[in-house]
Amino acid sequence: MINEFKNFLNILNNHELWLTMARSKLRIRYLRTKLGPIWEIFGTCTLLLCIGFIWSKLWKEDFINFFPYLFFGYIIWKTIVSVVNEATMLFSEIYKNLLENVYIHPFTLCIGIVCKNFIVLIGFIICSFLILIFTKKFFLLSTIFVIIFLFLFFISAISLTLLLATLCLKFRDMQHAINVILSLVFFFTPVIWNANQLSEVNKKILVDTNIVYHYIEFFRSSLLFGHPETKNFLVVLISTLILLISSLYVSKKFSRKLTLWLI
Amino acid sequence: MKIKVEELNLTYPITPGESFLKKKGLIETFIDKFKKNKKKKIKINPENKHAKINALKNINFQLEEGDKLGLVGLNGSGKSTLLKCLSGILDPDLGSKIIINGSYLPIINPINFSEQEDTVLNNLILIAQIFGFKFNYVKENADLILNFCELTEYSNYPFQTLSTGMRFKLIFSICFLLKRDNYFIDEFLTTGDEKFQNKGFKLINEEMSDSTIVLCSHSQEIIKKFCNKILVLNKGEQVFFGNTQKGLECFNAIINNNLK
Repeated sequence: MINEFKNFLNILNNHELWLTMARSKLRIRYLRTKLGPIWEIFGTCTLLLCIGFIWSKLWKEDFINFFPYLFFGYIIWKTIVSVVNEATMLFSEIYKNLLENVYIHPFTLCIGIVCKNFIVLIGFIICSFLILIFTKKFFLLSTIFVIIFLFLFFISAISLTLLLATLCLKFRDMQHAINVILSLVFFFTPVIWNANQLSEVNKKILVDTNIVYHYIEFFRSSLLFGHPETKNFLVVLISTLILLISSLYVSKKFSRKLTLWLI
Repeated sequence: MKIKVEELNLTYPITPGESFLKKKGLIETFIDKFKKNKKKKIKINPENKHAKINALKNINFQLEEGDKLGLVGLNGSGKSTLLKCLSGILDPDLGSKIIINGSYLPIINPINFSEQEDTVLNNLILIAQIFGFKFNYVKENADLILNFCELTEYSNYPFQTLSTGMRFKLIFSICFLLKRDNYFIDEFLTTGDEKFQNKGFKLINEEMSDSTIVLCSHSQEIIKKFCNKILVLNKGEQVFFGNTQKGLECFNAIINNNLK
């Protein structure tokens, strides 16, 4: 396990290959467009402005307060969805040819695809800071917590990608099952609605047990209030550790078997 | 000794095409939980058992520095599988021994992992990095590679606009201009035009004389021209290892036997 961890750190350290792979995937996604990944940011901002306007009226909330809440939550949710969706196809479709014809450690492929999503997320985070400056709610401490969050979220995303990609390669039904689960999680997670709208009992059952919520809330409270709640911080930290240890175990046990599962 | 293979065996399972849910998997495990105390009928269904294939059986050979080994055999004899085992893509069975001294480069369908819509230059950088070469080293040698394969003017074209032959030239140039100690090549050297093939063979003979190459090919001409040793495979078993001429006679005997 320690060797596997050293291996993981080595792959992270040799950033040239996974960065090239991430940039290549991103380039192809926005091929022949002038704005490139800015389209993603522009599209999401437009959508959230419209949703924010209507929902703030529906829930009788101030748009200036509601829009940042919606924006900060939605961009993390969007990244989670993108990471999970790509993880379900990573070994079985996206890098099938590569795994069949050259030995490359699965972590390299996972880091590459997560890095691609994080490049877009960083664009969104720059927008988030602009929103904070515009609404005069900027806390300097936020920056430190956002950096801590990004680090933990990056490690979690890589580990989750490896776990899901391996699972979906072995059991092909999982890809479809995960898509169904994701859409359910969206409705149960306070991304576009506020957790305080629930009663205390419901909040404990539906929200506090939802790990995705803690990731979103860590980021959102860091930006909105300058720091996350201790509970959010601990859940994210412990989840990251559990995901990392599980992915190291799976990598040690199954990384050499992936090619056989492709046949 | 550059490459040593001892008692190499490979068995791999063939996953049935049916759904995981239908197999002894989620649903049955779930139902079994509730049927814990009930008497179970024992069903024996041989189709449920995972089929296994003995793709390679007891392969043994040793290559010295500069050896060029030709791998020959009929379709399904295990040539590509052996190359994949040497390259670390497939994990052989316990007890198998593969020793490779120095760096190595597997050239097995490299065109398949290119990004078709990206430019030729970006693909050059991506493929070379996947092969394990450092970014700066690849960047420094990019012009040399594009010049050698006569594709300098196409460097900003999408990779998919290149013909099969042009793609072959690019991959060939990446592999042999950025050097490695050992090469494992699958059905690769026969794709380009004759002019480039001659240029390529000249490069390999002059610059790669120290490199150990394992080449898998159906072309006896290429094997004769290129290899000093031969390994004949038949249904995953090693039939012959040694001199090229005798090996080709043995391979022809297998072909004739099959024709009868």
